[in-house]
Amino acid sequence: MILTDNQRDSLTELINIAFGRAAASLSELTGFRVLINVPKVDILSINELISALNGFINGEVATVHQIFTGQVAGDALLMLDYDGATALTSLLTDEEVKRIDVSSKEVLIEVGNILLNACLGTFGNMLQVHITFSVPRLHLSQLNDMLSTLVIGKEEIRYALVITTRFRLKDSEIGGYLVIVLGVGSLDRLIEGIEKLG
Amino acid sequence: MTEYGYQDAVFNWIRNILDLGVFTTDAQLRIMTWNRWLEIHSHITYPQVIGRNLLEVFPDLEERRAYRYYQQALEGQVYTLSHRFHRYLLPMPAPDEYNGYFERMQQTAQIAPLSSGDKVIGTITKIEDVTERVVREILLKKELEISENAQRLIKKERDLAQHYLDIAGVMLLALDEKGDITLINKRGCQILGCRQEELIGKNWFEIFLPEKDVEGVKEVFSALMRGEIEPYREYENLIKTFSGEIKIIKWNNTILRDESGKIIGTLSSGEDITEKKRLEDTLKAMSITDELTGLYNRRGFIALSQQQLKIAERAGNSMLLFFADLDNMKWINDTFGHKIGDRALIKTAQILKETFRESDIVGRLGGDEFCVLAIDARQTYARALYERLKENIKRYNNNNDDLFQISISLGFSRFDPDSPKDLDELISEADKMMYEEKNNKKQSVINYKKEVAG
Repeated sequence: MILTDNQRDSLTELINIAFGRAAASLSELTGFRVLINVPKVDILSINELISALNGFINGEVATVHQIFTGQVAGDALLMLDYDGATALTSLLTDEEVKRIDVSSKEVLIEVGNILLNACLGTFGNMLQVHITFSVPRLHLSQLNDMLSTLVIGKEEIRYALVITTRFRLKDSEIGGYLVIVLGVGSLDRLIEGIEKLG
Repeated sequence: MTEYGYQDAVFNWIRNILDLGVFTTDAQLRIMTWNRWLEIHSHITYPQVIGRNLLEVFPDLEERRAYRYYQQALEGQVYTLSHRFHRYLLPMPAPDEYNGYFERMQQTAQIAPLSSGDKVIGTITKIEDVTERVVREILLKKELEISENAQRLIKKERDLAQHYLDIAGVMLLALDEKGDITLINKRGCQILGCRQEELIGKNWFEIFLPEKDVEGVKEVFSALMRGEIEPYREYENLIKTFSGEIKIIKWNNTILRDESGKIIGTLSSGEDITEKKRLEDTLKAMSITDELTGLYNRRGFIALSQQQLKIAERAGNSMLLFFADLDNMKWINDTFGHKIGDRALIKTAQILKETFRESDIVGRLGGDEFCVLAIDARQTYARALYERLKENIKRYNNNNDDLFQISISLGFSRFDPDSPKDLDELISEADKMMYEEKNNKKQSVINYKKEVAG
């Protein structure tokens, strides 16, 4: 399914607003200026997602995963490759993080949580629907293993809203992906909402 | 069991047994449940908080900007509050054993909406005590830092040591027990003509010794490694550099041992003395003095004598050439060794110098043969000089406690300016006469022995 240019622009605008809120929260939390950019927004089928991400992320990924339910339901994920995850944690905590220990995991969970909340909260407000979030979890696994959990046992045709995400802080830039996996019904509702905005 | 009874049991378990802090509020953020864990750790009991607004009980939630998470939770959002950013949600004292680290219990918390259908009816908060984990992480980080510092220090020392090795003017070379190179400094690389990384791990003997020496030196080295022999502290040998050039190296060796005293290799400093040797040889070739006795050597004697012969011929001066031979030199060497033999030669030279005039040319032609050219000396001097020599020898032999007695056989020839002979002729004439004397001496010993025996 392909978005029209207008739909894509509106969606990008919406996400930028959401990320602006998230960046403000992170700046306040850490005490220094954090910016989050959205260079690219795409909607892909779940099968395309696997090959698309494989091109960008190799090996082990750190994924903050939150399930959301309600009239719009699905999986929301923030994915960083392992080096990106340690670098982001180092920058945000102002401490050198070489490996992801339990405390670093919690930091990543909180950061992912803020970002996913902001994004889905904005969608919820736009669509004026109530979304319930699960507790966020962090998975450290191979990319393919992570992605296959999203496919297995799901009968509904699923799509992924892939938001290329760039954290910018302290002269550094760390790339990642915010992925929102939706059933076709939820996606229709989302696009409808976007149409109304435009 | 009724549905209600089951849920009651779950609630009671969370209330009394769960090893986490759990509390709930209603939609006005009034505390509705407060489990046993929280009562124990916060020292605040359920009756003290029930029905009271969260902010009223913990006013600093506002100050620390944590209160808004509850307002967001009422709008349906879930929040994770990591220890790293927040330290704690509710102020509770740290367990006693971590008092030194933290005053307050370190916590991670989750704040979530409580929903009934589509409607948020309150919030639920889960608090985990992570003090122990955080302390453990701090200690681990410290340990890592210490070990990293130690490694940095070791590296710095190693770099410094390498620097010292590199500024050394001699080649420094360490070999393991197989003769493979484990260390070599800059000077060593210069001498051998290749880079350090090309040398490490290479076998010293196979690459840098002239082929004919390899087997022999290897055998000595392995005997050294087995501890069967002691190393020569100092010696010189030939090596073949990468480019095939032969160099003379003067070595100084030490055996390397591990902590248990096992021999693990050698450390050697080597000085390239090729140039020095070449210079010494050149100097030797140019020299006119005999190193041992300080007299003129054959070269010096011949050169100076020939010059004197020409002068004498022109001036019409008579000269005498004496040929002296130290008797029993071979016997002295064989019996007492070369050191004593050398001493006898030195003494002989001294006696000759004392006997003749300063202007006379005294030389050692080699071995036990000496030659003296007495300048401006008539035939009649010969006898007097001969007597003086015998006198000096006798005095020497009487006044020292050497193991040997000096005895010299002497012959002479005369240079007559009216019928000049060349130096070779003079020497061979004197030599002949000396031999006659020597034979006479031997004969007289034989005769003496015969007399005694007879």
